[in-house]
Amino acid sequence: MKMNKSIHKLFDVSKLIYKGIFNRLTEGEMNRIDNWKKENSDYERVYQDLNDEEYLVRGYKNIRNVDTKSALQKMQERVHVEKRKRRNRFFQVASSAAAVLILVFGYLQFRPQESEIFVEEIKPGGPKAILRISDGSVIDIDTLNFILLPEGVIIQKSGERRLDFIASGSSKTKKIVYNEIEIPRGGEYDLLLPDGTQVWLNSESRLKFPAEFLGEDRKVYLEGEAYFNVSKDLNKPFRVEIKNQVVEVLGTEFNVLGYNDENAVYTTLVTGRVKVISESEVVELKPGEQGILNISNGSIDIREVDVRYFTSWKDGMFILEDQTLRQIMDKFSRWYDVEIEFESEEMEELIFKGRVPRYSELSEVLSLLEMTEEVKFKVEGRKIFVYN
Amino acid sequence: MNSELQILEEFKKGRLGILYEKVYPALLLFAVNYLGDKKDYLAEDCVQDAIFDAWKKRGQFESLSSLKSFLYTAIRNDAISIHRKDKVEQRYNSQLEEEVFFNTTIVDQETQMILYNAINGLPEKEKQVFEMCFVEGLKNVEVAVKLDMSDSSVKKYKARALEILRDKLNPSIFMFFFSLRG
Repeated sequence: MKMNKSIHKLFDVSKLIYKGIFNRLTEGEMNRIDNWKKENSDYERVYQDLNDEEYLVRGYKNIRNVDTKSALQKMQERVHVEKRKRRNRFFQVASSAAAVLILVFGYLQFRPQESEIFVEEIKPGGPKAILRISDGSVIDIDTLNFILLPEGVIIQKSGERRLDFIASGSSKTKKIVYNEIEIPRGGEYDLLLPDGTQVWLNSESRLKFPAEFLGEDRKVYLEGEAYFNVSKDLNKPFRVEIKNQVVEVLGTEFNVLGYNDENAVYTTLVTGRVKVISESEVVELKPGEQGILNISNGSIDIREVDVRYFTSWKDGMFILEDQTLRQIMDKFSRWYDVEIEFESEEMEELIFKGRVPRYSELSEVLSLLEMTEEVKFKVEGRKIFVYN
Repeated sequence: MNSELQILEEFKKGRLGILYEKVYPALLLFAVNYLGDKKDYLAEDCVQDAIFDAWKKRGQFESLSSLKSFLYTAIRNDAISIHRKDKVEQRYNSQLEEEVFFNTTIVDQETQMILYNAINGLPEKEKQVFEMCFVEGLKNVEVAVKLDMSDSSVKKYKARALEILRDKLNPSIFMFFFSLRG
């Protein structure tokens, strides 16, 4: 697999060369390119080419001339035919798969003990959630497909990490009953609430919400972090209660973050308008503004932010801008379900910025951080030591 | 969102559109490089076969990089075996089998593809102006006449385009960290 590793490096080098066309590179980035160029004179030559405007213009035109449409069409037909063939073969495969399972199971039982010493890669989080319905029973989401609750609500799994709650309107009672979803560390899930509101829930979060929005408002209770896209209903405000704060909206998109180990709740508005209410203050946010609630005294500060830094998690990226290592590691700790230990308090305050795809393995992310040469990591089981 | 992950996820679901838009041209030109002038008509088949193989084992790819690694390697191997059938080109072939040639060709095509995707992702007006100025090599005045806008608008769009290419890159293009203290 040596080959594969070195190709990944080539992709990184390409990104840096591209970056260098328009930007001044940092010293570290320059060094990485230089080290690569030194490996072979051909690398130096291609680097020179890629910094030559005429060469780039020719390349641009070559790419523009590639006929992607007809190639795409041909491939779609091939894939379609293959899928159909597969379907017909399914039963045959299913029975032999059973045989394989028995073999694997046998191996797992009798495999030699020393295989325990392999270091396990720490994988990113994924779709994990625990759903508790109004009568207190827990529904197994992994096997759930479709279920009709006594209140007339339908729960349907509509994607790998998405649950839809659909009110059928046949509710006989006028009593509000609640469903609750809990996202463990290393989990994430999306919901579609009965009023059409979409909710993205981050790791270590919990949302309690009515099976049907019957009252005069639409009130939900949040712990942790969630992104809301609230469907508009001028007659029924949507309220998110978190710690000692309520966010009140009519229809808009925003992110709320307030973990129990932090002394603040961050409400970031993307579009529309929201009111943030604490026991001592009421403030209104405009798009691009963030309200920061101080939990100990109920005061709310407003600041302007680039909303992407606070919402990119739901689109599969960590965009970390001017954050302390403590804040960054807290995020990773929830998403990768690991424990963090710092060598010194001083290290917790180091400021970094960076971007990483949320679905990378932890080792990849840590090695990117290590490239700054400000910090080192040691992984033992699910514990990460941060030192220098 | 146009993250690398999205391209992979769509690919796994059998929606191949973005892969063909954002990755395919680099693969094709890579194949053309390997096959040379006399055999470049085989390039499309080479690439298509590689993509089809990848699709059949789509479950095993965890990142777009691992998918692309597989594709580049498969195309290279296919191209080399095509040349092997042709004894006359033995000498040419030995160069093709070197890792340095493989690496250089990847970096060349990848970088150009990133540039192309970045320019193509510009807002409509910025893209038009940028293409005319830098790709077609027209002067500001000429662009202004063609697009029926003022000279200063051309300059404005050009500056905007450069600013976007510089800073507001699609987040997926870069994966990096740096410390503000260093």
